[in-house]
Amino acid sequence: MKLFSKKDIMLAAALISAALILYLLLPSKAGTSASVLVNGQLYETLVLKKDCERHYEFSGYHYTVRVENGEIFVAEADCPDEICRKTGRISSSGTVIVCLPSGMVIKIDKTDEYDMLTY
Amino acid sequence: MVDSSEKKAVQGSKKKLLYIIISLLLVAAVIAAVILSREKNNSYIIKSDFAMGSDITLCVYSADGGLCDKVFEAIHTLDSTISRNIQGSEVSNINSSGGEGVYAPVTCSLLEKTAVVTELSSGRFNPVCGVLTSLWDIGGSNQRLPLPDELSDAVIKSSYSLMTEHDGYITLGGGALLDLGAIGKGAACDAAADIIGDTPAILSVGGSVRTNGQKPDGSDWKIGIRDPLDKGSQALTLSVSSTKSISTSGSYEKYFTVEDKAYHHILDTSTGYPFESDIISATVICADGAVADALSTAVFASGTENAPEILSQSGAQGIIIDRDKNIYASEEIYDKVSSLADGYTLRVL
Repeated sequence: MKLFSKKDIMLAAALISAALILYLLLPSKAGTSASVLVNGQLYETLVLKKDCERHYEFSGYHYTVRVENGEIFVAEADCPDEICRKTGRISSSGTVIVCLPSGMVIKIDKTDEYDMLTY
Repeated sequence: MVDSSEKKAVQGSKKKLLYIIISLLLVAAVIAAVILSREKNNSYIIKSDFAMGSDITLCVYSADGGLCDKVFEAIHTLDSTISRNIQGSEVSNINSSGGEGVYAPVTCSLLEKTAVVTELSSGRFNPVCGVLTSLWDIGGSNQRLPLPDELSDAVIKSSYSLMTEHDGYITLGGGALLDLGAIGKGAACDAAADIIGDTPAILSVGGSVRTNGQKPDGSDWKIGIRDPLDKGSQALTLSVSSTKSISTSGSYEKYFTVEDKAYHHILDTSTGYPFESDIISATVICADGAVADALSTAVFASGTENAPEILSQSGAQGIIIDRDKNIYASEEIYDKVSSLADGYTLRVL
């Protein structure tokens, strides 16, 4: 009695390749900078290589945004739902933190990743 | 007695279950391997400092945060040795010597290393340019367009032959002044590399970059070259696999404008004015940081036509960007260039 039939091996191969494709498609590249936008307008750009802390007031709500270890997150917020704070840390290119009450969006910029810039 | 067909069915479903479990385990193993390989060896420390009038960023792939501080200390020490603006530095001692020989071993070794670049560039890279750089003071508080008389006087006082070196002593005559501004950042990268040792690291001193060793995850170091026509972004990415110094000189970085004419900071000691070059950004890749800095100035100043000769004579590679959005890369690194910005064309230098 054979343990694996051709069909089973094919199934396993299909599952593995599906997992691989999924991995390749997922936004995994860490970004190098993040843009803070308010109602679609760029407010400022933060470099993710350097840790920093920013205090913002948008539409009367206050936010403390921190960059730590290449990740950015809303550390404190007094908006009604605090969904932005609960989103947690983001670092992958294309990912976002959204705060609907004030229209603030923090977006990891889709740049070609580089380790250092020469100029 | 169990019916044989029932037995088969039980066996069949057991078999199916086993397959599903094995398949799931395989998938889980692949996912786990992928996650582990992403996390593995990627812990690094990034620290920043300020010296030589430049931002310094150091990223070391090590848990030793103290290493960064030691590196910064070494850079500050070098700064206080070769800065012409710091009293008691070798260079300020030379500049205030009034023609007397001054013992300046660090300055001497830097000048010896880069003397070949002065020669290869027919004197276009000239560290005896202090009178001229002070006169223009580009980027400084006294920045202005000098008068023709002042310029011709500065040209006379900026002759490379006014400097002589022997056994660690430097003699500077004729009212000349030494200015190592063009090679300071690269020299800082070299000083840093001495401290970093074998630890994989990447360093930028005001845009002069040093890669140290190999990146632990096995990938290449990715160096972005700033887009000279759009300073907010990069013109291209260069992949570097080992220890290299990468330096860029350009007319876009420091300049001021008088009556619609832009005057950049790379000055020609034979005319007194900024170099007229078809190049707007010249990047040089070689082993030594100070030499890379000197070469990037030399290549920028010498133009596209003379660049290949200077580079090949020094065993260095280059990436040149001209006004017409052509990017010329040395053949050896042509295939290491990627992610070209919109409108740029890549050609072989």
